Amino acid sequence: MNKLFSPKTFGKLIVVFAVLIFLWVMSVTVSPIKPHRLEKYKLENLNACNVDNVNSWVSKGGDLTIKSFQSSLTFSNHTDFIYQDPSTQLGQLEFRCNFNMPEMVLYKALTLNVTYKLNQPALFGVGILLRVGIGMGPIWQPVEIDSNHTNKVITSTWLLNDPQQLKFNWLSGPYKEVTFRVSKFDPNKELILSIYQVYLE
Amino acid sequence: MQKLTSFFPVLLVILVLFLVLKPAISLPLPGDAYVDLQVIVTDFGKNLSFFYPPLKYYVYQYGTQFTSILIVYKLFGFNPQAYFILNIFLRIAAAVTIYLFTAKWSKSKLAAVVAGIFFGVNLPGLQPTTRVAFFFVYVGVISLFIFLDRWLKFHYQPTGKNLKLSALFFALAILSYPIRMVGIVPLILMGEIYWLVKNYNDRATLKLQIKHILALTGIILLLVFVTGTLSSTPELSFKRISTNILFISLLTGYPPVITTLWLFISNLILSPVSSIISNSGAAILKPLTLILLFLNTFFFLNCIFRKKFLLAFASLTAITFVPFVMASSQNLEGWDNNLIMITQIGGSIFLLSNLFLIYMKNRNEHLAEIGMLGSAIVLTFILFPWLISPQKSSNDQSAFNFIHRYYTIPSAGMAILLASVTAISWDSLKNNLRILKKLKTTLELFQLTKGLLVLPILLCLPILILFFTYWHMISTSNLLIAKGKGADAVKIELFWNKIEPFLKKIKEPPNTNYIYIENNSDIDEKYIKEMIADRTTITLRMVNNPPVINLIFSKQAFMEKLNKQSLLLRNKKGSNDNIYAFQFDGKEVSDIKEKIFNIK
Repeated sequence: MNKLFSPKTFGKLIVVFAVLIFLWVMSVTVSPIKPHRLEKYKLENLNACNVDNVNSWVSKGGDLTIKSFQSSLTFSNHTDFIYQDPSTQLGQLEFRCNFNMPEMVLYKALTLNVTYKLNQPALFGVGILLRVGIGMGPIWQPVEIDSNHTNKVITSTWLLNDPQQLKFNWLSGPYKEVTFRVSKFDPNKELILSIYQVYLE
Repeated sequence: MQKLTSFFPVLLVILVLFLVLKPAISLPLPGDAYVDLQVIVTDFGKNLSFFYPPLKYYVYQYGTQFTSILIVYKLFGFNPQAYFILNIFLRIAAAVTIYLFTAKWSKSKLAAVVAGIFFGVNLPGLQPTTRVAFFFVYVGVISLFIFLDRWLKFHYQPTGKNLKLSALFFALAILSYPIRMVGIVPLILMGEIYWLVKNYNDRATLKLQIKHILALTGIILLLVFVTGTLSSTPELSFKRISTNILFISLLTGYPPVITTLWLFISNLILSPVSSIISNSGAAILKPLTLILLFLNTFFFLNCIFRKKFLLAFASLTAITFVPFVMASSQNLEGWDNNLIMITQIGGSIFLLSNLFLIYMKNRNEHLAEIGMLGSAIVLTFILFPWLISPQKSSNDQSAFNFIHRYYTIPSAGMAILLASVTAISWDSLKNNLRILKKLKTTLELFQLTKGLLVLPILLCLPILILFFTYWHMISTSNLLIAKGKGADAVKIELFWNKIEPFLKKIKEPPNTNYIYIENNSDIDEKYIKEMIADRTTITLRMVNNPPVINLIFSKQAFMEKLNKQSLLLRNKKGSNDNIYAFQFDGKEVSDIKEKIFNIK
């Protein structure tokens, strides 16, 4: 009994365990076990913003009106962002939605997608933030919406594992916010943005 | 005379390091140094007063770093020679501390010399010298080794007095440079577990040891929860990979983050940014990979032959390492062949060295234990850089920037590990030769041949380690010489001293200042560019509202710029005082504004 719990036996067990772990960890690098896809998660866990709840959206400066629309007939619930005072608000419009994105969902997800409609050509960009109020997290390259795509419902997709900001260098825990940045091309025209869905895939 | 010769090894370390690092003395202040100097204006206020920040500042993560910069700035201003001489002095002092520590605990002067030199010339850990203002890292290294000395003293002679000294120097080591000392916590954890297991049956020692653990734990808790010295910053929390995700990545191999850890360790042995690698990488790296495959196989066979089956089983790690890295290379995003081969070589050397020390532990326990302490320093201090950059990144704060301050303390650990292996091999070779001379019977001859399988390791490992040391010497020296090209620090300082009085009148934002410089000297314009805006900002304490300076070196471009801004016509009347024009001939700076605008 005593011999079984001696430091020497304990040491041997640690060596065997450490070697086996080493061999396992190194062998899986050769053919990695890719994570299961997101099917097992409920849809509400894959949504990255709640378009039904106007209170979950926050404007960061700017004179912005946020309105939520719900329609049980057309299933086209969405939130409208209306940029009211074009003369004083040149440049970039920024707003955020509070939403908890668990790290495991982000680990498994491949893309962040936004379905939206713009009333004028603009640059549309997104990012996710680690904590509410602390602006740290990956920001993706904005997409340019030209006049052919205005006033139409479109979906833009961003790779989470972007070569410029690989996922495992920023995946430090659950993320709390999605941030949106819109730079409109026509400073004199009111901007209306409708967001229908923000989701991970 | 004997006393004099006993100083010879340490003098050798100092001389070699001085010769390798000497080119740094004539370097100008690098652009990054101005970034660090600007922080002191923010942290200590416009009067640069030690009383400006709250008392807690001095124990926060970066407190000593910026306080030390402030002291040196108050003493020397922008004088680059003073910064570099102080820096080299501290780097050599840290190397001498490592020398003394290794000599004392390994009882081998050879190990001490190799450790001191390997640390001093190590290329990856050189950034505190090239960036110059981070010189206090070396004070951190010195205090770490003073603590380690007291720590070992307590474990070899456990008394109440040694316990108190160990705890005191533990706190001082952390407070000397908190942000670089995070690795000390897992290091002492590993060490204390090792000694607990080792002294399991010694009841008297065990009681003191538990008191010691409690004292160190108390200090850690105090520094985390009361002073905040060891607590994480929001920036670090954001950068560090989640523990859950890390474990899943390690167990599934997606992505292969473990290989990054091996690359960071390998960088300490053979740096991919060395000038030698960029010139003739594959020609050197390929044969090294093959040599290591053979050495690892010899080691495995030797263990089997000597019936050390557990060690033979453990040596599977070293044998399989090179093939594993090769086979996983397709999953390593953005890695080139050199990075893969360096990981194979460095990882193999690290694994083989540790196995070899365990193998030789019964023959020279002191050396083996010190070598393993070196390994533990490497692993624990490289852990956090790995956690904040587990995949290839071009971010300047990532350890993928292969010459980085993150590597300075791990390079000390690697130096001690490799030095112990060199010394233990040398002692064993000498011992075998002695036995060979005294051989009398066939049985003794048979006993000796049993050791023949380990002979290639005894011969090759020290040669490889000496080669790596030489490699670092050349690479470090080449890097410092290359940095000095087109950078005459004396002329750059002369230029600054002459132009500074003019810049005192510089306009604050929203004004833009247009400065034309007709550079007729041999100074590279990038040094003038780096210096003007940053030094002006620091000198005039304008950090919160830095001046906007448009610096132009071509007369035509300058005129076009002014024309575009509709400033040319107004300036001809001499009314614009945010426009400057100077000429520098290498000796004098003259104001040529009137001349180029023909103002009468």
